[in-house]
Amino acid sequence: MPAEASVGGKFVKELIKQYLDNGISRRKLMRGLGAAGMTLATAKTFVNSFTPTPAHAAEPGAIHPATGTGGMLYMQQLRAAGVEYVFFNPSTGDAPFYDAAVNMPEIQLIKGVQEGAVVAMADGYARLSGKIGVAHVANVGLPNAMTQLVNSWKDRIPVLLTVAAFGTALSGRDGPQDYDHQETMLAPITKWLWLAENAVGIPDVLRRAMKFATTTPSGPVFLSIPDDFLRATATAEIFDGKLFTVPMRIRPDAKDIEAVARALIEAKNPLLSAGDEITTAQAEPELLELATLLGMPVTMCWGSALNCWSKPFPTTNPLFIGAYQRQMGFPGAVDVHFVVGDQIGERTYNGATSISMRSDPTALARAWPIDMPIVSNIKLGLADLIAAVKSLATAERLKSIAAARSARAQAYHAAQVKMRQTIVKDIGNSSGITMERLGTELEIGLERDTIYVSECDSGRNMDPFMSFGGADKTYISTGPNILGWAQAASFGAKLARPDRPVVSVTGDGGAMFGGPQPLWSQARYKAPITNLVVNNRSYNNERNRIWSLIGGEQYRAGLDMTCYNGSPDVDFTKAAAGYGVEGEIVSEPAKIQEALARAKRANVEGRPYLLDIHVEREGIGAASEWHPPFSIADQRTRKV
Amino acid sequence: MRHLLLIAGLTLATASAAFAQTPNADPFPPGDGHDKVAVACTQCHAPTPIVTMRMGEAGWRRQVEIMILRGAQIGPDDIDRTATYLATVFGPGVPLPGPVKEVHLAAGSGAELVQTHCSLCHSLERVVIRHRPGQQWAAIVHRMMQFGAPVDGTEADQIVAYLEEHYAAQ
Repeated sequence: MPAEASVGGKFVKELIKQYLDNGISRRKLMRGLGAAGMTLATAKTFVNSFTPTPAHAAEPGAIHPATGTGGMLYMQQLRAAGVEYVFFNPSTGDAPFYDAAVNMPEIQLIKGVQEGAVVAMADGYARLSGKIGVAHVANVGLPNAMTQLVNSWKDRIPVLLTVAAFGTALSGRDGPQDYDHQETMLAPITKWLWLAENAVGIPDVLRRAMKFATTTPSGPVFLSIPDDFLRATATAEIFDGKLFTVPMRIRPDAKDIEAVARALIEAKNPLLSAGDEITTAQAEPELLELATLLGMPVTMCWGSALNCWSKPFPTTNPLFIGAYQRQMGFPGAVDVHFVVGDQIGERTYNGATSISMRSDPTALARAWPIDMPIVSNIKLGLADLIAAVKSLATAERLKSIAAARSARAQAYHAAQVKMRQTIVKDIGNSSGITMERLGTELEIGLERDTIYVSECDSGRNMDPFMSFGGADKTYISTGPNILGWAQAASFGAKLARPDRPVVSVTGDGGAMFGGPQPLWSQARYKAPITNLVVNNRSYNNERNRIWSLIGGEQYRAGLDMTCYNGSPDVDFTKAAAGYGVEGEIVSEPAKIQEALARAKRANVEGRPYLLDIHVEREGIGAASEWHPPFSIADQRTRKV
Repeated sequence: MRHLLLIAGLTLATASAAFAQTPNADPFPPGDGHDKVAVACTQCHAPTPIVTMRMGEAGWRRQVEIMILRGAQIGPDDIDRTATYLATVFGPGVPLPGPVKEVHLAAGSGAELVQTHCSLCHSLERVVIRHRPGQQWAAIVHRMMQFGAPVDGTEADQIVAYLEEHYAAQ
């Protein structure tokens, strides 16, 4: 029993007795425990310890009947699947869900104030918890939700998105908020979608939706339920989550694995590219063991961080050599390129034999041809490969191979570290905050086990100055970089991992896309998150890319027609304050640490905090603050 | 719509960078550093941004460092050589590719400095095409000096004064 349970002594015992005798509801019990001095989290753990949840109460694989509204059946099916949180924003048709929630304390409702934020919160929760993220949004706000669902789709994140659609008597009549077959909009960005056909079938379509979402390769699914079905009463079967949890413990063919092991042992100059499927499979230890065993240099992502959302290999490991490219000065002429769970890593390395192990058979060898494609559960496949390598060569031989290979990789890695120090030295006299300086300061100021939730494109320049993976910070981003994600996703991350520090990192562009709506949820639910807005008043890298990659008239004329975000110069601390989140502006390099310390203090006390960090713009056209002048006020002929 | 267009822009930029191809003709002049630039820089983007820019060694060095942080494989021993190469073959005074529009500056003290120095790296059309707030000219000239514009402090002050007088936004 937790120490807090003794608070209140007899009072607590009496409460528990009443609860077990069905004299009071669970909600009333929780309230009583709170009054006795327990925190919500402790009370929840405490009550769960003697309360049989439906999942525990049911036999493994049980199906039990239930009677209620469609909304009640839906919520009961979520509960039977072990869902603890539903992220939502309210709309009229959804009411039966929330009527059911009144007496369902096992499911905590988490409110967001815009559909994109709701989905991004569910997405962040799913990425960090490994569980499905469940989001209910207003039917008319579905397009808002879709923007963030693209991140979930491209990164194969299990998110269930549900709407209460127009009732069957009204849909298809071109009502003010109705458009035909809206669910088909979701087709390109979901793994599966369905329009519920009656009330009695709601638990079954929900079961299918969750099965599709969570079965590897996972991904978002969409469920549209006409609101008259949610209000109708029916008796239906509720399915225990075990009945649709597909383990996907698929091992690769032993002969294939032996061939890969042989190729990696005999390779003259192998390269390993690591991707997000490793993170999803929690196969980081196996990856590290294999790379170390064979002394293989490891790359992650492409172009610093595009096309990947995690860093499954420790960036401080001497075998880590940076981003993948199809032709690299080091390790040079690669003869065997081994890709593990990595979409962009499959891009053909010039002259190398390609081997790719993927858990997603549809993605494997899709973008580029692969010499040796292997479908496998990544964790099991790597474990089998390690065993095969050890069976094909003596420990002494492997040690010799690894020593020769890793010596080169270690020398390269060390040179990279030295070079970053040189770069920092080069910008050392800058009076403003550069990305390099900020990265260096964050490496000093953030806790080692911080979950770093980033969508800042300019911020990728500071990533090399920080340590990620292994025992260091956990890096979470999105492959497609659809902005407006990080502040909301960090909320989901904190919910999934409440005992780890969480930092969100957005540019000013991203903060304006997705903020400050997620700050409302952070304040409402007392989510201790440090929000960093890396503010250069520009879509800085967008301008750099437009000018440099495309060239064109803007570059020739030196006119930035689109990317300057100043005028007005947004004060993100004022926006945060309006939403109940404290914050401060940081504009001097020497003040970063003390600001981080204040943010940390607020987090320790259970409050979110925001740092609006004014950083320098970089690149061509960076000094210009010109933007196309236009004033509606000047268009007037009447001053009204 | 603006929201969607920007998202599309992000995606487009990513896609175009990811699938950038090196043209057959070598756009990089020979020199010590050619091979490093020809390979390392074209892994992620076309040669265009390099061959159309003109900067001094300090400017190129900064650009090289930024690219390294974004994944370019240029080693510590190659930074100086790469920056020197780029400043030599694409430095101030190296003719810009394509036609350059002839521009007549407003007469005044400092016009000759602008004519002489600013045109070393870019068309003068860039200078005169829009009037800008006074403090903006100072920031831009300062940034140009960081990029390697061959002007000293006195000349920079004269250039700023000229631009503020003749090309300042009202």
